[in-house]
Amino acid sequence: MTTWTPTARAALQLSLDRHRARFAADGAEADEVVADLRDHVEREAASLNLSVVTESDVRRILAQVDPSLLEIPTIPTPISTAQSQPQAPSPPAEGRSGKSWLWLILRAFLGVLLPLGTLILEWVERPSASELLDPIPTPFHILLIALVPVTNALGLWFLERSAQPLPRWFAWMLSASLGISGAYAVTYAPITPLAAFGILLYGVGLIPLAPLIAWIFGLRIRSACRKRAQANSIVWPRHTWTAAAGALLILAVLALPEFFTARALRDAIDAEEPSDRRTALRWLRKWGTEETVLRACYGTRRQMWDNALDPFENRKARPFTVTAEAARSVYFQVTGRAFNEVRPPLGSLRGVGRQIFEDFEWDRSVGGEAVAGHVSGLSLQSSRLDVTSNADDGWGYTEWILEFRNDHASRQREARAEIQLPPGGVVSRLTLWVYGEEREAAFAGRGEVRAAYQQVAVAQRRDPVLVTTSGPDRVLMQCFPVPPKGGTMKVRLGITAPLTPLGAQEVAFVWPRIVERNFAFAEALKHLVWLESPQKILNPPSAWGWNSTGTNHLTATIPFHWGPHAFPTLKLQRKADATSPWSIDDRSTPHATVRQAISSVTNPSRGRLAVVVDGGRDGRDGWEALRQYLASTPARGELRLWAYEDGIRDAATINEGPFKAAVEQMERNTPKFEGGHDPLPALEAAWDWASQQAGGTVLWIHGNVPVLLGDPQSMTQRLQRGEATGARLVDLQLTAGPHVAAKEWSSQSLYESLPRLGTLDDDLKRFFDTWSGLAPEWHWRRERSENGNTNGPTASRHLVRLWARDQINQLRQQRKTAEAVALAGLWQLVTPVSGAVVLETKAQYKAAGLTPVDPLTTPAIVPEPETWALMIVGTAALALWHRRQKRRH
Amino acid sequence: MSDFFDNWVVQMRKGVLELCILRTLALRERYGYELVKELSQVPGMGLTEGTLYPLMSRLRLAGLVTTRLEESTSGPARKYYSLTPEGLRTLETMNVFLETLERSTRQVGGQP
Repeated sequence: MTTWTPTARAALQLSLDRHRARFAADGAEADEVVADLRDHVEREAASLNLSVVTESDVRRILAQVDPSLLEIPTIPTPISTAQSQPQAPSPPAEGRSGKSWLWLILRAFLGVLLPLGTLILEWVERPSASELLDPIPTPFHILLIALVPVTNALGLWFLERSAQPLPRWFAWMLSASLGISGAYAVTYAPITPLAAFGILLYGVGLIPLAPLIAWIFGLRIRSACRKRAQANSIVWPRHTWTAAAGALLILAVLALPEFFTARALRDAIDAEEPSDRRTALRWLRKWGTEETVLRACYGTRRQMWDNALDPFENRKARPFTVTAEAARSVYFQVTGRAFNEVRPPLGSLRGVGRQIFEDFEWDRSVGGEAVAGHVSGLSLQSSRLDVTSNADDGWGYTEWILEFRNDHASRQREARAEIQLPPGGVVSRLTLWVYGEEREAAFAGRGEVRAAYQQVAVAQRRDPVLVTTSGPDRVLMQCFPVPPKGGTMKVRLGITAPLTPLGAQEVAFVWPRIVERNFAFAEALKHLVWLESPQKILNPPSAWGWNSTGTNHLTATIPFHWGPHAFPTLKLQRKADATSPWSIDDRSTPHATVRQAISSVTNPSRGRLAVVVDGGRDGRDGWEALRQYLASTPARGELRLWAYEDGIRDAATINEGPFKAAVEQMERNTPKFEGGHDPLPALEAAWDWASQQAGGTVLWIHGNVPVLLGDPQSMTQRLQRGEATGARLVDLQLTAGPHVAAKEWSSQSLYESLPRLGTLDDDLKRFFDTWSGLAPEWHWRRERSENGNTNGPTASRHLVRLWARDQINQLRQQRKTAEAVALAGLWQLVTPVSGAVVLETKAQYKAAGLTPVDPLTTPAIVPEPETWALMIVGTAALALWHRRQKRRH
Repeated sequence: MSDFFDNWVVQMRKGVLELCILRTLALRERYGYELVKELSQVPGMGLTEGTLYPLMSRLRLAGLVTTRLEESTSGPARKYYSLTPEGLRTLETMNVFLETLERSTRQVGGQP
């Protein structure tokens, strides 16, 4: 091993450099000759077996090689020297000219800063992802792309800082970088002419050209490096193309999951054979990338990787287009969740200056009747729940004030939410704050209010808010526009609901909750809760404030991330003898009283019981709770159990025996609880079996139903025509989420929704106990009377509202829609036939033919201002009316 | 007399040096160091490395020779020189010309 001293190395280089001009004048390439001579001297030194080569050794060797090399040449530098070294691999002169600096800066910009800036911009702003294609679908893509500017920067640095050959590893790195920039250049090729055109005309469009520019720059670096290596007698590593091929392979491997997911997504939607669709779904559950399907749910365009792998696809035979609706259906079947339950796609790589996903700029669902996907920038900023209730009288009234905020830079947003009301609840007040003032709603026919909302919201872009029903005990609230740049919109929902009787001395209050939404929850969101009750609250949550002096009241500040379990059902004590409070219906002519009584019914033994359990993602809890209940119940009878997954599983059959015998069969037939499935075939089979004998019951235990995977008409027909069988369908939803089947069947009298009052075990036991006659079923019974009976305690007019709700449902079933709408308008209720809309101006109300309600007639948390006065007047009027009637007779 | 002869030798060497290089490479390719050592053994050639490498570079630029690098186990990569087809044709032309020149030279002055 020979070691060169720095002075020896410098002396050799100096001696050789002095003769560059002479070599060039001889017609040779100076760099090449210098490198050859340097190589030759090094070999001579090695052949002399010198352990250390000093400056004197160099002089000695040079004297042997060619004595003239030790002399200072006299040949002047010819002008043509520069021309003989066109690529100038030699190190730069110490003094750089202004032009040279400009050239360096330009190269650094095009080769390094442009690709780096483009990568950062794509990462943060995602202009391509939202408009064209997603160049960085995974974090690995960021690393791969980052290799390009890093390599170009290194190459530039090596070439500018030293005349030494570049390290060998750089050749491989450069090749890999060229592979990546080349792949992206090809991907962006279709828009390259457009981008070039944009630069020429408007001076913009450099970003789509960044891959191509970086690739060309990389090629130039490679060329310069090869010359440098050749000049230094260094062999440029062979087969560096394998590094480029390796980079392309990595890109392809990264693209494969998405590619195969997209293929399976297509198969799951439009494969000709049902078995192929099922196979595709199973593949997606096991191997598919959820984000790919989720992106399709938002209707985003095809990705660059689809283009890259297109040669493997027969696009003519099977067009790629997957509609958002179809993708949402597949997403549910694959994950068991609604697509809008989770954070929108492409959000996982964000984090620079963003809290909410902002790519889905255009909300196509404004004014529609579905919550649809999340929109960027919109969040629920504050939430306040005020409740007043009376356990003896059996009612609760909740006012929920919601304030939305839109942080989007330019777009107005519509906030949409599906809200689960307390069982039997009805929206009885709707208020919108306009310029800080409260504006009350107009209540009218469902079609009228929706038309008014669409006219004002969608066409005029002014301030309305609309509430309509959306299935049993659910309403859809939508308000538009929440202004951009931090604008807010504040609404109040008033909800009148009966307290659910658990027994003669105990009632339950259930909180309303948001089950589906198109907005985020602000990080700092807290629900401010205040509940008052004259009666004792039996189970105040331990973390809540509790004050029992005067009226009992509960207070709490609940961060949203505590989730829905932070709002447990409250149990209130009621007097057993408080059986018949009454209130006055002073809005009808003639006036009347509405009296409410509590009653219980103990069912005789029912007929067949068919249980249908969701075999999807959310069904496991229901299955386990059912299994545990059956293991301990003494109940007997005819029981059949179905589970539905990709098909129907006949899970257990008991013929007139103890139910607990079903447990063993259940254990043998436990579903996988994956994905989401179509319940209709199982429900139809269960109904057909249960309704063969009088009084059959189908209990449907399931998770969210965000989409219907089959035609519900067959089941709807059974519910409509099955009155004579006495059968019923009891719906027990395990999760607080969307349920489109309930919207379909809510108007059917044979369909019941089992209210969720406690834990699943409690609710299941409550059902079985009442079904089997082990425990009575408690009900409120409300009757309107014009006979002026005013005995007993008076109560809030919420009783009349609840009576009106029941009456409207009856009128609907009797097809007396006009009367139902009139009654809903009279008592200002949102029902299946009516809705509520707040408009901004009187002119808008006039144009829509609507009249906003008088604020004095709306319910309120504080006692309604005119309640007592009206009661006195009403009572006096009733007494007078009865006296006249008696005189007539 | 001496100066005249020295100058004449230089002129002669310049003329035949390229020819010798091309003839050497026509046999087989050689790397630079090997070529120098081989040609420096030729009597009367008076070749030095300082002369050879610029000449090789010029021949390469003229397209008569080509180079390739090959990894070496005993040191740095070796730069191999070989004739291009153009170099081979040029060599044949030069050989024919030299033979003609030699014959003509011998005929001048009555030598056989």
